[in-house]
Amino acid sequence: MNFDYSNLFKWLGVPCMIVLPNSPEFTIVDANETYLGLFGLGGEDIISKSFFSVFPSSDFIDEINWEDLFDEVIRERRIISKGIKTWVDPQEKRTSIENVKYFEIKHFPVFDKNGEVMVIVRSLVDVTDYVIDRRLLTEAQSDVRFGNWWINIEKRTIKWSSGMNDLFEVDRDFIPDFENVKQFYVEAEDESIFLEEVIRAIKGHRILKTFLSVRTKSGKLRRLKIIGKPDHIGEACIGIHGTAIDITKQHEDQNILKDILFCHNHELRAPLARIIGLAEHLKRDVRTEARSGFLIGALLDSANEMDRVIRQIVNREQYKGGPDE
Amino acid sequence: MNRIILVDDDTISTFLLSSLLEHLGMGHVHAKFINGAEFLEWLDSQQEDGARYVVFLDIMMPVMDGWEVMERLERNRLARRISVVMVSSSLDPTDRKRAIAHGMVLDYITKPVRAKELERLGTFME
Repeated sequence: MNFDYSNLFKWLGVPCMIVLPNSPEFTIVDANETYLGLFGLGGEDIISKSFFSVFPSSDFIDEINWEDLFDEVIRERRIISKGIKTWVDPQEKRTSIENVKYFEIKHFPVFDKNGEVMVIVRSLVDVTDYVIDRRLLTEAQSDVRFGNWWINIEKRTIKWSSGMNDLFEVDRDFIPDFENVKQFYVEAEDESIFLEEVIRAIKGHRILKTFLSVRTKSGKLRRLKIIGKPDHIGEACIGIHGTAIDITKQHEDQNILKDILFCHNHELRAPLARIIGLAEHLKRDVRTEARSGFLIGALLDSANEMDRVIRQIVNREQYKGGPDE
Repeated sequence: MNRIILVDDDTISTFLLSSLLEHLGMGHVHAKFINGAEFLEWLDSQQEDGARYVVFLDIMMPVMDGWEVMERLERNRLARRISVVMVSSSLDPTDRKRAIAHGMVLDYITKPVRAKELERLGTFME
């Protein structure tokens, strides 16, 4: 089969460049459109030129020893991963979150029939989404208790990570099963409600997302956010795996906020009701300028009163002691 | 003939309500009071002349609040001639239940009072 690999290379979505191993020039043989587009270059700008004359310095802000870039692939004669580098779009005048990307850089040696390095392929794989997601997950994990779990439906077994042991305050040698996890449900019907959600996710081939209040071994109440994904082979569901995240603090904060709003709703709504009433009155019946002045003055007074009440509430709640004080 | 009475310490609220009543052609306000005690004192001075009273009664007031007014109104000699519309800025759902439990209460309205809520009172305002 005749296949135009050069065209494939040209339009490959991964930025790729081919250089000769002729140190120190490392003449550029070819670069695909994706690579050229990344740097805003045309083929005529770089082909047959020395790599380091086209790129005298790195556009990757955490690149070190730029001049030794290809030394390792020549010396080691194997695929070299240069790791994940941070790249800032050289075509943008200002650096912002939109023009920072992360690339995993690899150098591939291509050998001739004598086993000598014929060319080096430099590839840049865009891993921006992966880096950002990892960073978000790490940040989330540092502040939040969470654990991973897996339920095998067929064998009726449960496996979970040490994070789940911590969540439920059980020893590391605790092995969960369908019977001994019952102790963690707050109400008897919680188990059946949760299992119904699991079955709905499995039958619907969809993500499980639910909340569950649990009681740890020491008796603490915790609120969990459960996310799970069914594992199917064809139509058969073999299990469901997911994460349980402790959202007890957020849940308590929400309840506190509801209580605050409930307790202060009259103080807040009184000036608000006046503002709405005055606005509707103005809309309905604007008379003389003097009368409008009175109404607008009353509007402003009510708005200021509402602002004052909100500030008082915020100040009061900000300095209130928590349960540990 | 209905006598419309407003009992509310918030002068802006009484201005808005009386203005809305006039705009809807539901009549002029007969009297306004800034707390329940003043209203009851005035009521005691009224003659039994066949007039009916529609009282728009705020709940949160100084000196005497709307709940205490309701307790006393039920024992008043003119009670048969009085209908009350309780008015409040609060969103507490228990307030509505507590208000409607009184036989004299026509309705419970959350401020700001709107035209359609007054129109709902219908024939009582005629």
